[in-house]
Amino acid sequence: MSFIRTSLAALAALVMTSPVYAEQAQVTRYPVVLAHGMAGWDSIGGYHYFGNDWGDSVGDSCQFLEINGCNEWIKGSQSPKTVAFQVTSLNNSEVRGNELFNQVLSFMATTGYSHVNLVGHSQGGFDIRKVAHRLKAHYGQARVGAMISISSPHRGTPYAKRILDLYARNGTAFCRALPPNPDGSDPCVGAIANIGDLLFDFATGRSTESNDIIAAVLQLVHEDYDANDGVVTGAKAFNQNYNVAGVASYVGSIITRQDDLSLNPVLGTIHAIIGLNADGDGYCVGDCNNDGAAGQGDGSIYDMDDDGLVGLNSQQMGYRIKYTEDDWTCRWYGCWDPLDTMTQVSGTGYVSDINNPSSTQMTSHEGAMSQDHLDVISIGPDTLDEFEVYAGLFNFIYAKGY
Amino acid sequence: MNSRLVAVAVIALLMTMAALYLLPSRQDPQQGDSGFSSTSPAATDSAPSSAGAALQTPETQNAAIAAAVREKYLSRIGDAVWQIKLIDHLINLMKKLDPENWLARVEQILALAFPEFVDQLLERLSAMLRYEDWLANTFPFMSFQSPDDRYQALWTTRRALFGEDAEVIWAAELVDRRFREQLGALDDSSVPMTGKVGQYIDLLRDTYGDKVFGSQGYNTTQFMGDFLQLESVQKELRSADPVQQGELLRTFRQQMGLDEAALARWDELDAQRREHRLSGEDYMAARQTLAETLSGEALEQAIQQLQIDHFGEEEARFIRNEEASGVFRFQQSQIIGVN
Repeated sequence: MSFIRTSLAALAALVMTSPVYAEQAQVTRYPVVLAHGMAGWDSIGGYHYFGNDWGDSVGDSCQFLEINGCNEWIKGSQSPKTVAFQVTSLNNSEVRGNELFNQVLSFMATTGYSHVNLVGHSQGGFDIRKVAHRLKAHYGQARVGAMISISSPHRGTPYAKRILDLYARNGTAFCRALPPNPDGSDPCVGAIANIGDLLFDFATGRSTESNDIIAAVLQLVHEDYDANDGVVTGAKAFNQNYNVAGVASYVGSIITRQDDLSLNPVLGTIHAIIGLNADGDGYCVGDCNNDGAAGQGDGSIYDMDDDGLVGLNSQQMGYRIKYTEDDWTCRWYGCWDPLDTMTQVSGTGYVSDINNPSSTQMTSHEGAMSQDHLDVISIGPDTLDEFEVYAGLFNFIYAKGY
Repeated sequence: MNSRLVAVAVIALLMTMAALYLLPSRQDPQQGDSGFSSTSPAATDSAPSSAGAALQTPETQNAAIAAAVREKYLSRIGDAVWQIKLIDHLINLMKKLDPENWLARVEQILALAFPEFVDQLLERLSAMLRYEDWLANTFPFMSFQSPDDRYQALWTTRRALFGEDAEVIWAAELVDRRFREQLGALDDSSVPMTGKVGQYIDLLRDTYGDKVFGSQGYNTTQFMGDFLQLESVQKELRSADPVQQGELLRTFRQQMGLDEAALARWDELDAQRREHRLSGEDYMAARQTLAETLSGEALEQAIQQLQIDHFGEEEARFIRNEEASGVFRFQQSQIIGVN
């Protein structure tokens, strides 16, 4: 009896005092460069682009910064190995890719790292491909470990084409369809400001010199939007020039989609303004229905076929990476909060030619993350712990050996 | 004494059993051809048995979660930031576990986990929910005259909902903003670059501490870029000859704590960029001449050859792609020390 009591007491003490394990991501071998999407900034009023809803950055570890708002899921030594560079908010990926390339080169000169990992959200997924190509050309060999896109419209998005169709171009004027302002000023200024405000806030006074919203939107249409304008634009041409072979050791993509009722109100408003709810999980070769994105719909716009801005069939590059959210777990020896995991999906293979994925790669929902386009960055409301998601991604990159 | 021990043990066992059976079990990550598997001891544990189903009530589940979060957050629960983190964590968790009653469940768990802080936590929860609703449904659709107005509106709401704690919760953002404001003032001052470097170093140290210095520092490259992109600094760099330019840049980087190896890499990169820019200017002039004398296919071929002659095959490919899309990289001004 005494033995039982003692054992129970010991067990109780163990349970009551055992630490709550909160796993931390392993530190990546190479630094991780985070590339923001269209209209993004490294830090804006109220948000870090790659941060949580409270204005903190995913790369700020608690050990390193010793401040309150920090990412407890990463180790201190991951902080200086996590960098987010700001490129021009609104422009095509030829321009943005060059800017990012130069910043990566500068970072490599400062730190002495020979390789980097590249992670791009949305248009950032295009930008990182150009960086990978330019790094290879610069050094004479590939210098990218993992190259991973998140919610990127690699094969275009119908929303971009609809915006161009509605606010059709007229020479250099973007908003031909808009009535002139009473004071004679350019109606585009207000329209563009509103679009920017809806997404983020691009008017922070930084890098505005290079902003070109037309070039930015043209980048996200699959085909060359206007064959007679003297320039070749669009995702398809970019993909031909900056495909994935030979420029990175590992290529993958995180795919997002969300049901319409759970979309961020901003995205719902954009849909209402432009009158489009895309159907983005059907297959065909190229942009067979001329909606601005490769592939087509499957006949239903309510089956979580897009993330509010990008169709599921546009997003896979290289392997598909599945995100698994893990919450509190308890066993007899204690409770802990395991780190979310990322795993490679085997059923959807590898997209090596970005313009020509298979039917499965364009239609399968396997491994797709149930979040909208803005959830995976700092824009709430959402039920996602951005800190943990990116820590999980760092862990995945580490496990891949990069 | 003995009866107290037994009581503690029984409570502990009950809580552990509840936790064992009632919390969501870890889902083994799907293994791809080389997928990652967590190193957590939980990864290999088996799923809870059906014997636990009988205990699967909201009350026992609440108790298990409350015990777990109490242990995790106890040492920091007096801090506004960690209160927010805790509530955010519970909201996310309960929205998944109990979508119909998540709010009531969060309130119950907070009361169970931290009875000594419950009033403060419930008030915080209410403020958070109102703030997130405003942020999602009101703020994006408001019109502002300027980014400053927009920022002020954000802070007016934060202060109204969180009081003085707003400045603690968004401390990192405030620090960044003050830094940007002081950087702008530095740009406006008439002090020469060498003097500005000293002031900038002081500003960095005061704001972020020593961690931002050194080749492996925190965001050191970004902080160097922020300074070099100042209009006044670029103006001075542009007016300097290449040797002076190099000295100014080297001194600045030295003061940012870069070691000799890093300085040497930067010297090389600066030289490459200078050479590239000169080639680019030469190329653009020659291109213009070609455009005035040739046309059609002949012009295209001549430009292509010109690109290869100036930049080599690889770089010429990028420049060709850029020009096809309407981008002429050498029409954009160089930011010395940055690109």
